[in-house]
Order: sequence, then C-alpha cells, then structure tokens
Amino acid sequence: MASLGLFAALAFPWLLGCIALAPWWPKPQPGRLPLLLGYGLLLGWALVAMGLWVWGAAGARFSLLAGLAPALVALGSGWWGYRRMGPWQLGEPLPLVEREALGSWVGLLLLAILALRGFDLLYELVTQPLFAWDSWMNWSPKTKVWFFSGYMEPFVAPKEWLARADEPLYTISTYHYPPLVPLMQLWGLLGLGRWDDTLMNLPWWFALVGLGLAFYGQGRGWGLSPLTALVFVYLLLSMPFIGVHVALPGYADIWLAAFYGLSAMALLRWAGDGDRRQLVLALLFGITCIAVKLPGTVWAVTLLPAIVGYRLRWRHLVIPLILCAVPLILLFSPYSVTFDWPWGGGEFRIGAERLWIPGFTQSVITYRPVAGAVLANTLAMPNWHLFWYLLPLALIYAVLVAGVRWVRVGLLLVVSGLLLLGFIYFFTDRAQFVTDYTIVNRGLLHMVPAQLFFIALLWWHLTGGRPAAEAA
Amino acid sequence: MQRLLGEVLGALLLAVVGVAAVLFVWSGGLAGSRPPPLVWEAQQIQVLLGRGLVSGEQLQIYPDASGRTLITLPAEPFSAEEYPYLLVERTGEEGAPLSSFVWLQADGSRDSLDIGWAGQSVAMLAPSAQEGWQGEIRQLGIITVGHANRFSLLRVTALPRSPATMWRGILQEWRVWEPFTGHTIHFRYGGPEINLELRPSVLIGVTTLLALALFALRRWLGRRPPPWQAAALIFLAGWMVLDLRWEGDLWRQHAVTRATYSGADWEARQRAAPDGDLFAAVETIKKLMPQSPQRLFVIVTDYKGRGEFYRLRTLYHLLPHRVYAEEPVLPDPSALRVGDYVLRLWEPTSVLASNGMLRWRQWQVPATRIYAEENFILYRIDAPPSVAGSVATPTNP
Repeated sequence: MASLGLFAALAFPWLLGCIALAPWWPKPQPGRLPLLLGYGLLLGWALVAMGLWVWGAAGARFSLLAGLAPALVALGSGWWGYRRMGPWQLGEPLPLVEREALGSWVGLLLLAILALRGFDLLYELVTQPLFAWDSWMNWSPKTKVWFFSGYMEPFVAPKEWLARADEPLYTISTYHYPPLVPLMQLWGLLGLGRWDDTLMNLPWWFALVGLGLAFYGQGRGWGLSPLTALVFVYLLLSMPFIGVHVALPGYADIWLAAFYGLSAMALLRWAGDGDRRQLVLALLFGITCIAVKLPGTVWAVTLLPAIVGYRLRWRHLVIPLILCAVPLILLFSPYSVTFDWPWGGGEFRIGAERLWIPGFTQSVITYRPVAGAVLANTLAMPNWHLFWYLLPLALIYAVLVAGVRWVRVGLLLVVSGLLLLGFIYFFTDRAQFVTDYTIVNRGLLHMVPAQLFFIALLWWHLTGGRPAAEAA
Repeated sequence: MQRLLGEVLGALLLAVVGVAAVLFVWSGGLAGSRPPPLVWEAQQIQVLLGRGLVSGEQLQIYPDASGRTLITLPAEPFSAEEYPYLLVERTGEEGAPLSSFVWLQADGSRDSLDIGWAGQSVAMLAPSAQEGWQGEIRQLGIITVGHANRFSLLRVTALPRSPATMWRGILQEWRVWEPFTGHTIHFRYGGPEINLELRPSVLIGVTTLLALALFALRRWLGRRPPPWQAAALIFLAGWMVLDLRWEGDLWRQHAVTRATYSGADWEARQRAAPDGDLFAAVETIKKLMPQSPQRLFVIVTDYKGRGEFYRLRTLYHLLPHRVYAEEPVLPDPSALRVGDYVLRLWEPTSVLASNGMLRWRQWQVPATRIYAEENFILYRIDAPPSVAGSVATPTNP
C-alpha cells in the first residue's frame, strides 16, 4: 500500500505538468512527446511543491489534498490551451524517422548505455542512506520536521530562536533557504506515509529523466536528427558530476541545473523561431529558479541579456554593456552606494571593493588566483568527461557566426553565465570555496545543460542545418 | 560508412601515435642511459618512531601510542631530477594508514607529499610535480598518523624517468578507483591527489583534440573532405573511453553499497552507515524524552573541527525535536527554560557537569542526568540558571 501511495505521489506531478502543457502543443511535430514529458515532469514538481508551500503557509495540515490547487492550475492551463490552440492531434508517438534512428546500432548502443546509467544511479539512490552533507544539514531538516509535525513549522535564525524561547520554532544555520526542495521531498513522503529519507529523494532521479527528455524534445523540435539529439542527451546524462548529484541526492543543484537548463533551451528555441510558447516556458522556468536556491535569482538574471539581445544588433548592445560597466567601475572605485535592502537582512553596499548583498554575500572584491583549481576540476579531474574541452571550440565557432540572431542570444546567455561565475570565483570571498573545491563544480553544474544545448545547436548549424527564422 | 570509419580510425590512430611519441620523448625515451631504480626492501627500511618487525618479505610496522610512525629510507643522496617517481608497495590485508612521503633537500629545506592509497596496495607518486622535489635529496622517509593498527610495507622504490615508468603510472592512475566519500558531491579526484602528472582525462582530452585537429586539417586540405560525422565520432570515442571508466567506477561502488546496505530496511541501513553508533545512541535518547518536540541543546567538543559533523548529524537525527547546535556552549540564561534538554557529546569542557549542575562561563543550572553512555550524556534542566557559585534553588517543574 505504501509503495502504491509513493508511486501515485511520484506520478501525480508528472501527470499534472503534462496536462498543463500538452494542449499548448496540439499539432504533431518532431520531439513533441519528449518535450511535453520532460517539461511536464519538472513543471509538475514545481507546481506541486508550490501548492504545498501555499497550503503550509496557510496553516493547513500537510496532506495529498494540497495537490488540489496545483491540479486546478494545471487543468486551467490545459483548458486555456485547448481553447486557444484547438483540439489535440494524436500523431505518431514514435514516428518512423525516430524508430529508424533509435533502432540503428548507434542508437541502440546509446539507449542501452543510458538505461544502464539510469539503473546505476537509481540503485545508489535507493540503497544508500542520506549521505551528502548539505542534504541532511541544509535541506532535509525542514522535510523531516514538516513531515513529523504535519505543519509548515517556521525556521528562524539561531539568535531569534534563542530570543523567542517560549515559541515553537526551529532553527538551522540555513533557515533562510527556499523551501521548494524540501517540499518536493515531503510530497513523496505524504504518498509513502512514513519517514524514509532515502525514498524521499526519488524525485532527483526523475529530474534527470525530465532533463534528458526535455533536451531531446527541444533538440528534435529545433531540427536535430533523432540520432544527433540522442548523442547530445547521452553527453549530458553521462557526465559524472551530473550523475553524482542523482546517486547522492538531496542537494538543490541538480534542480537548479534542470530548471535553468529548461529555461535556456526554451529561450534559444524562441530566439530561433519566435515561438512565444517557448518564451513563456523560458520565463516560467527562469522564475522557478529563484524558488529553488538562493543563487537561482542570479541565474535567472543571466537570462535577461539574452532576452534583450534578441531584439538588438551588436551595435545596439553598446548601451547595455556600458550600463553593465557602471557597477563594475563603481565596485573598484573609492566610492560606494549603500541602502537598506528592501527584503530585510541589512544594508546593500557596492563600491570601494565591497559588495554586500544581504542573505547572499558580504565580500571584499579583489582578484584571487583560483585558475588552477578551476582548470583542475574541469580539465584534469574526472568530473565532466570532455565537456570543458568542447565548450571553448564551440564558443569560437559561435563568435564566427554571431551574425545569426539565435547564436547572438546563445552567446549572450553562455557568456553572461561564465562572467557571473568568473566574477564570483575570482573576485569574491567565495574563492576560498573554489580552492578547496567545494563549490567550483556545483556552480558550473547549473549552467552545463544550457551550454550543452547551445553546443548542440551550433553543431547543427556547422553541419549545414538552418532554422526556419534566421535573421542576420 | 566504411569511409567514415576509416577517417575516424585514421585520425584517432595518428593522434594516439603523436601523443605517444611526445610522451616517449618527454619521459626520456631518447636518453642514452638512465640510472637504475633505488630499491628499499623490507629489511632495509628503518622505523624510527613506532616499532618494526621484519617478517619474510614484509616489514610489519606498529605505530606508537599516538598512532604515529616515522620510517626512513637510508641511502646516499640522490638527484631529484633523476628520480621523479616513487613507488610504495604494502600488503593489502590491513587498512591503509594516512601517510606522507617526507624528504630533506641539500639546502636543509623539507617538503612532503601525501600518499593516496585509494584502496590499493601500490601507490605511485610523482613528487617531481612538487616544487620541493629538486636538487639533491638527502633524506627520504614516510610518516603515518592516526592509524592505531599494524600495517606492512613490502618495498619502496625510487624510479628513474623512462617511458615504461611513465606508462606504468598512467595505467595505475587509470585503474585506481575512488569510492563515494564526503567530497564526491563536490568533486571527484579519480585517483590519488596530484600523484601523477598525466591524468586520464588530460591524456584522452589532448588526444581527442589532436585527432579533431587532424580531421580539420584533412577537411581544409583534402580534395574529398571527410564528413562532419567523422568529427562527431572522434569526439564521441574519446568521451566514451572516459565514460567506460566512470561506468566501471559505478559498478565497483555498487559492490560496496550492496555489501553494506543491500536488503536492509531503513533503520538497519541507518545503523550500518558510518555514523550508525550515533544514530543508535540518538534513537535511545529519543525514547527517554517525551514524544512531543522538546527544546534541546547539543554541546560538542571540537565544535568546528571533527565535532562539526557530529553536532550537525546529531541535530538531524534528533529532529523533530527543537534542537539548537549552533554554539559550543550553552547560551545566556534568558534563552534557557526549565524542562529543556542538554546533550553533551564527548565531555566538552565548555560545559562542565558535576554535583547535579551544569556550569558554563559564569553560569550554572541544576540538571538531572537522564542518560549516559560513553560519549553521550543527556540532561534535563530542573530549575532556572543562576550565577555560578550561588546556591541554586530548584523550582517546581
């Protein structure tokens, strides 16, 4: 019975997400089914977690009934899509071209490897106790308390916990982290009906599946052949560091990578053919990044240059570049700008080599020589296979063909992400966590799916493919 | 298809040959002569700290009371440049101690390099990658720390630079397996840290890039440029070689996971985990407390060091009790309430217990000891705190 409950709890978000999205893609097109399954899975989990959030914040006891509101939202979206786009046409779930390619020896080999890898990661996930440090220190304490209590008990800062000794509060040092990830764990437990800090992490495996399906669907929708799309899915899902975050679940990074990646893929699709549905997906998943992890806000911001760059030619980008340079100049000048942070937590300050963003960083901005650590982790250590050997080649090609609008958008997306991480790693106090290797790969993880999708599109361009709308 | 495969294999083969040729020259393959290896067999190794006993081909080493040993390898001074590699062989029966090579240079400066056993019985190191391995090496030794049990060494060898030595190191690095550890979620070494100069990822990466460069040259120069699919296959081949290793690593990890946790229910797996003792102790403690969430302070020795794992892990296991584990000492009295619990791990000196009192800074509070087991002692606060040294009067609970 518990297993049935768990299965239902895991299937429910997937179903919800597909109901929400499917009517918006009524006509058969290459990659439609995996696109809907992939995006639907992740959207469904976000919806369910947010539904639990609202439910809990309203003071209601946690139960599967919290899925009602997300279900209504999904049905509403589905109904709206049906009214706007017309009846859904079934088409072939697996068209002939797909069957032929995936049935070839290369296709079968890659599918077999992916299936084996999926089993590998799932085996470790369901067998090992909760293992990775931040999983049980930062994220799962809330899950455990909310599960046993049945309510969304508040977590406050340690000092506040001490000061309010007569109130039923909880505290951990990371009390301010967003609750989306613990709520995803909680949903599975509500279905299971008992505490199990191993099985509650099954959504992590599904996140990987969703990411792979979405990548395949978006690639096919762009025009990649089935085999090319499958090869890139294999490259994505076979990277050791991505696998590790599923085999040792409980961190929020793989979710941030998935949401940011899906947002970026949709953004690039929009840049390629102007499909506004993709822009909506990009914004939706970009905003969700904010609710996953604190750095998600910053990652969401990196989407803005790409969105702005869609409309602008290179010469028009001078003004935004100058605007972006202003805070940098201020940062290294002797002057500073300070004001009370609107969301509480203290003072925001920028300038005179100081950058204080309450809840995020209080850092002295100066150059730190961490290149050795970054290069070791990307090129020498077995974290990413050959991905970081490939990216520079791809970026060189992208610069050469930057006259194409979607390439410009992709370049702005990738470069803004790299500059962001470069600034954080090389110029802020976070450098100490780069030299001890604790954040360097996790930060890179957030943007790797997005970057790999861009590389897939560049490969398609290099080998003679042309998108429907290519503006010079 | 045949042409495609021919292009791919041709480029890869040329790249492999090219990289092998460069490595051959770099590793001194063209050198006319090279010095012989320096070998220290078991009976030649001296134990200065701890105790050593030669038994057949092994030197059995017994650490001192603090778990340390110091081993020297007596020899004439030798040139660091001539011997860039060190090989240590031990028997595989006992666990591997935390150990480092240490050496003294001619100018009196010292340096060291950790020996990364990574579960193997042979460790090969490249101290030549260290700045301190240069000039004349006067003394060479091994130190071990934190290992109470006996371990055995078979021999230590200083190897000269040669293609054979280099390839031996590369193959060993390839075979070394790294299980999931606390740092795996952040990074994987894939082998002993910076033990060897040529990591598999770098070798495969460079070979793949060279093959792609050859492919690009063929496309640029050739009358019949090879198809782009050839480049994809070249890249995929390099990727899959590394992926094969990762798959192998996962299967070895499965064996460890299966041996430790397979078939066990949730609670049995918790008890089998590295902090199983802690889990068992906390489960016992929770049974002695009311079921409803209680306020509880966790006080631990070595708050930020080894104690950090235990205080935070204890917090996690104690949930859904309302646990405070943010300081190595009890807070100001205004934050304490009668009925609160205090859990002392490893007899922390920041909060002392005697005569029914807990004492910290200038305060004291009457507390009843509820549970005591080796490293875990649970107290319940019986009355409000007072200044230390004053007569505390218990209140009615």
